[in-house]
Amino acid sequence: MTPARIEWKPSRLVWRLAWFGVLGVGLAVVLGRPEPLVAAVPALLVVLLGLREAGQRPAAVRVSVDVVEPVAFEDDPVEVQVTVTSPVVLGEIAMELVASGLPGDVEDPGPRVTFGVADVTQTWTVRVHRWGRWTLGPLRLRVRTPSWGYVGSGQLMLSELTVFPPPARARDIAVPPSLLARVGSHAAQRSGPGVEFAGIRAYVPGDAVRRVNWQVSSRRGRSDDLFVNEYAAERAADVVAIVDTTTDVGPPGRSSLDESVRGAAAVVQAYLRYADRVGVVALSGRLRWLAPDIGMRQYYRIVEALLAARHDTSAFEPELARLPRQALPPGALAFVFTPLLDPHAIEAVRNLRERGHPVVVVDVLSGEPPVHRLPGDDRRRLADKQLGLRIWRLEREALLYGLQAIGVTILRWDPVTGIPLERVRLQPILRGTPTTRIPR
Amino acid sequence: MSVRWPGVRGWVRLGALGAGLGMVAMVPLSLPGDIPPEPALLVAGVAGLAVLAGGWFGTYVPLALTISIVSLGIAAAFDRPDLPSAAVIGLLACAYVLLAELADSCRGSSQVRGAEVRRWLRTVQGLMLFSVAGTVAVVLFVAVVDPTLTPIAGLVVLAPLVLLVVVLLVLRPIRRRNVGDR
Repeated sequence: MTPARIEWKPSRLVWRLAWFGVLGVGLAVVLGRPEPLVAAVPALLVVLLGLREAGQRPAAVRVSVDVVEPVAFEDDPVEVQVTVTSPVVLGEIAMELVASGLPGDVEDPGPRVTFGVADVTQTWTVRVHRWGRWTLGPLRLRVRTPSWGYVGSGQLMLSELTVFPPPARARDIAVPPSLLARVGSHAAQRSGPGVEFAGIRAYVPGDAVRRVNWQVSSRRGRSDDLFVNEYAAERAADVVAIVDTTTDVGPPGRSSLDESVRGAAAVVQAYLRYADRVGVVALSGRLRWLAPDIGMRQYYRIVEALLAARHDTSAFEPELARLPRQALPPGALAFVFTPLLDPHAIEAVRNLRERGHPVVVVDVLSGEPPVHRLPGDDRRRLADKQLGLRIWRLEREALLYGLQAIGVTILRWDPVTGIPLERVRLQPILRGTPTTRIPR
Repeated sequence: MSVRWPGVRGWVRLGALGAGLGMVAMVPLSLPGDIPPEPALLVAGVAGLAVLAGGWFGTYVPLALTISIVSLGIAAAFDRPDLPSAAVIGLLACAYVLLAELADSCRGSSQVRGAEVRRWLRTVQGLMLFSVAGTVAVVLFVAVVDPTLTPIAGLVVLAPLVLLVVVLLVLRPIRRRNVGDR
């Protein structure tokens, strides 16, 4: 229960009737007639009765908020139940939930009015369109004393609502070339216990009899030679999602940071489903990182860590060298979500590649610098602007080509389908021959 | 073609307009027959427009009230209307302001139903009864109990007395509350 302080003042009704009454009394005195006075009497009596309720004005009312799902995904309906309790019966309790501090909508947003009660409960359905930690509200309160003599108003922010990026849309995943010695779901290039057929070899003492391939043994071998099936070992991988939070460009809700976090959440969820160890690094002035781990709990930990990225306004330069070994294990597959605008982020991508990580850069830049014709711009000025845009495009192409040349896979973020993970070809990268084209 | 009835908010607004137009209509009706009707009708028309505008825009309500009471004062200068008519005008003014305030309070709200309005009526019924009773008492006092009191003398005594009582009654609880705050 949060107390909401109420600021009281005489109501508009009282002022209007007082004006009518005083005017009537004044006219009666000036004209020397009783009729205006008689007309003014009811108004003055209502004013009198209304203002006598000064003792029935609570200094504060108690507000309790119950959010059915304090953690939700983008665009999920969230029910918010607000109860206002007053120590005395009030003439009116009106509540209005305004979503001014929230990138979302409130269904049926008008004020909810109740008359002659001491406590009232109202329920709103809220939909938030952007991930992040948001504060619900403000809740605007309007209360009146029973005879409507005084009107009070108050405002307070409600509880916090955590909105996660939407669930993963990545159906297929790229298997990292370097796998851990831990049992997982990816078929490794070495043989071991698994289910994926890898080849046939001669039987050696100790092999299980059920692995003997009798058909091959009877066809190819001598009577005392046996051949057994070999299976690919199933191993887990280390994956690190690196989110560039140094730059945030684009329209609200579809900005590069919004898409980066959505993409990182998709990658994290996709790999965690395969029992891989997944970590995260937020590449901003203040390096935030979470060491790779397994399980769906890790997903929520990672998203919680990313939610703080929006509010990071630190001016320090991000430096990957400061990261401990646990945050970026050797050989871990690195997914870098960046608009490739900040030189520090680009340098970080190169740094990762130099460390020997297979790197996939997801380009989340949604558009190009706009070329607008401003008032006063002549044809030459507009041509200069268009030339500037062409130079920007060329520089960007050169940058992408340079990154591919050092073995970085570059993918374009698709707002509809997400990350085209099925297009990732990691094996050629190990041999240093980048074959992945930039999907446009 | 089906008739679309107004919702609860519409009925409240219609009630406010009815009370306001009734208040305005009382003034020309109570004017003496020997004066030209055009000025009275003009004033009543302007007041009626203000009442209608006040039904949708609350800022016109004080204008309607001002025109009505001034018209009543002018009518009173011609020895009209009688005291009960003046009392009815005063009560209609109260009803008009209350209903206009209720209609304004319900604006934008989709939850106001008949039950809510009935609960509102319960909260203000004491107010209306008190004002009716008070008005009747004043009318009786002026017209019946003390008929010998000339209007001027009565007003010179009564009007400041009413104002003084009102001020005292209003200030007392406020002062008590301020002392308590300290």
